[in-house]
Amino acid sequence: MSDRTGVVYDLGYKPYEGERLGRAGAIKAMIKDGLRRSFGIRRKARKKVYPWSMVSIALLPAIVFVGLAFAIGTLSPDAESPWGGHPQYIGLVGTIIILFVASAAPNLLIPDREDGVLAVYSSRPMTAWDYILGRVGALAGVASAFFLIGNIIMYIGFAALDDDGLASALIGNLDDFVKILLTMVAYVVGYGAPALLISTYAKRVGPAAGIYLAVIFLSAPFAEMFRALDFAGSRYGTLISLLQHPEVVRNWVFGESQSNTPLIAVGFEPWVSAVIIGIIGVATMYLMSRRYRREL
Amino acid sequence: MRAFIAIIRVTFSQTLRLRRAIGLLMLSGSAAGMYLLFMIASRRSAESAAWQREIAFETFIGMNIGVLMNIAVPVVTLIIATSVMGDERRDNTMSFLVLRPISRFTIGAAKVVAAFVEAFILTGIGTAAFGILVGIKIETFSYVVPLIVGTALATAAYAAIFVPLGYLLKRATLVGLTYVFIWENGIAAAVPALASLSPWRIGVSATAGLAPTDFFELVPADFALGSLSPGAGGALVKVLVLMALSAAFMSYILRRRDLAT
Amino acid sequence: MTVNPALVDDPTVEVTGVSKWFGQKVAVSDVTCSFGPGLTGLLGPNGAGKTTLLRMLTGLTLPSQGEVLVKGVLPRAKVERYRDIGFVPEESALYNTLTARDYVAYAATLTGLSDPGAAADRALETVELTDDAGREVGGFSKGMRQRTKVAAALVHDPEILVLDEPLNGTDPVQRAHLIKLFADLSAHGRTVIVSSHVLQEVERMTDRVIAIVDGKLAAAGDISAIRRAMSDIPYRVMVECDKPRDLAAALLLHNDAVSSVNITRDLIHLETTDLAALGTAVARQARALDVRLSKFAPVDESLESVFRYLVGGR
Repeated sequence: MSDRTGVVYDLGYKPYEGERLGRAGAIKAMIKDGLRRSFGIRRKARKKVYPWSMVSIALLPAIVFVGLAFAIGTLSPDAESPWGGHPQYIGLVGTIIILFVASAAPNLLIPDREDGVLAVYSSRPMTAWDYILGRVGALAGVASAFFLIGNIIMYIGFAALDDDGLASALIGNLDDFVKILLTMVAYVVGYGAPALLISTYAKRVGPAAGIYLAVIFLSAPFAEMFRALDFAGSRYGTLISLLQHPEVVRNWVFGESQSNTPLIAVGFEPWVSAVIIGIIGVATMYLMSRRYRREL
Repeated sequence: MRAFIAIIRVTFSQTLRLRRAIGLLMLSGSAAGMYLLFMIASRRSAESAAWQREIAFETFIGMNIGVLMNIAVPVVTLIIATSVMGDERRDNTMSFLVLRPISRFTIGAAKVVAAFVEAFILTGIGTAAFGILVGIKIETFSYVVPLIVGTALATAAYAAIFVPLGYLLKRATLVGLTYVFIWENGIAAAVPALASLSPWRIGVSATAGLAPTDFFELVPADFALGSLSPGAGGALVKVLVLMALSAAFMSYILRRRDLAT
Repeated sequence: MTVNPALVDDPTVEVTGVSKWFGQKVAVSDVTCSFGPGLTGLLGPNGAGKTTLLRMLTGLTLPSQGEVLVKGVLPRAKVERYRDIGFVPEESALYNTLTARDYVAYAATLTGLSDPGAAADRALETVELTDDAGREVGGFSKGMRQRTKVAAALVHDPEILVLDEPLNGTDPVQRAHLIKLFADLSAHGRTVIVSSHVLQEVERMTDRVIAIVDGKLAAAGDISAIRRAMSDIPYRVMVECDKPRDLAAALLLHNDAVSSVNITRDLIHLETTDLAALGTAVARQARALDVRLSKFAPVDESLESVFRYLVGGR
């Protein structure tokens, strides 16, 4: 009798028996998807053109600043670069950050609604808040990355040029890095929240981006007008300057002199801008939760 | 001609819905809104009438260029113009339009004209409101017509540029916004020779050409005009050529390329 | 007389050596066929290249190679040629803010009809949408949207009608009505080209099909003739009788045309390479054995079976 044995395996449907990551896994997956979507990663080449063009334009001043500091240091070791550091760089790329967020936020929210994909999310074991956290997390991630890349190049570049040596300078200038992170939060929330809010209600990506940019850039001259008004309570109108709140926080954190922004001119302290940014952030999350609880 | 008008009419109904129209009208009326705030503020001022008139005039110039022409007109026109072809592409109605016995130039021209008319209805109302408020404040309405003409020409130029863009690119609005905020308000502002590539500066040159002479004294010429000379005639010719080229370009791509989907 | 079933004697649309590629992807590869008065079904699995071919017929897409002629001219060469073409695309292609009547009247206006309103009313009546003509298309069901598109394609009474999946979303009653409409149009001398996945309905509409698989012309002509041309694939026949085992045994013993036999309850499933010979043999054996036959039917002569063989083999 033969000792050979054989077996037939059932290749029919087998239920998934692997690890289930739960809601945290779902949120992480959405953040990853959002990052890929915003930077065009694993997408066609033309989806990468816009975001990476913005990144290139934003990095250029950082590289130039470090290069100039090196050149001046080589030519005249005692001189300091007059082209400044982090606050000046952030001021230069502020418009680019706004343009980047104008593209990223609508692309994160609007296609899901307009293409009918929300129904797919609602059939998963995740809540409306999970979806919101996933998308907000994605925007915060991409905007922070966008903000930080140039600043990190400058931070390391300046540290490398420091007379005390790279390692010492990196540690010695840590307070600068903390300031960068605080400013980053102000910019990401200050510019990201209005973009998310508009994208929560808009139906098309292009017009949402256009309306967001118009609202941001027009808020400054409107605030200027309120500054000129001279009746009780008119000074509070200067607080609508969405464009300038992150800039005020930036100057406050870095100890720079405040340019003649309306809300400072009418007597508000810089911390008021930080509070306004916080309020906008919270209001945005609340309104998003109301909208998406209906949909999901 | 009937087909030309029918395309314009249907384009209106497709792209200019009530909610969008209200939002864009508010945007184009932002300069008027700001000037109204200024008028309220200045009424309480104790300064002399002559000084107030001077400030009113400076504010008018600043808002015309900084708010109306720099932001409101381009953004409103951009949103409308990219939708005019972009919506046809998105809704897959291009095949409906092109499989008709009408010339491709007629289709292209109708779309450019539709974009201009639709956008100008909005930008024109905002500009007229702004001009009238300015007229009340500085006690002369001689700037209303020049402002409206300038806005019309700028709107037409933007429409001519952004209509083909809306057909060719899915992200046309974003590319257009980058053009406005980085190219026009950044690079072209720094290099006066590039002013002729800036539609809103073409519009300002027309306004400066038609307005009474004291307008030109206060216009920050380098930023607002660059290498352009004031003159409505020259601006009109530039814009008409731009619109014709745009229609011709649309005609070319509809004839030579696969229909975009 | 034409010997190539892919070609017709009096073509209105001629496709000669047409290929289309998008980058590295070849969507249509060297297709030669023609369409004339009557109804032709264009079949193929998803991604076969049917829509690409239809878009080339209408001039929406230019061939990368080869030539498409519509009544002797390139589709894009003369815009006047579009008076002769009516196209129903697969995608939505509707202005949601227009009413059905306005949409069809718009089509009529763009085609240069003198009374677009009356033409629109006639076209909407043809597709049984008169009652809903005043409603916005955006609120229509899928079937109503399809019928609106068909009305817009018919409003100018074109000689050539190209329809890409026109039965999508329609209910059985609407489908039957549309099929009858297409059949009537083709009977009146129009060239009607219908692409569809609903094979039973295509079978009801027409005997002539063009099948595309992986961008290539896989088969063309009459459905039965195509099946007969597949001589490497045996026919499957079902026989129902009162003594299946006796009949099956006799057929196996005395008939070389039978290549396999399968019995389930009262049914005999046979495979044969010679259908005619098998028919004769079954009748003879049934008489000899006093077997009462209740059914003799080939089960794979349908369009669906032919299509399955073309796409996936046996």
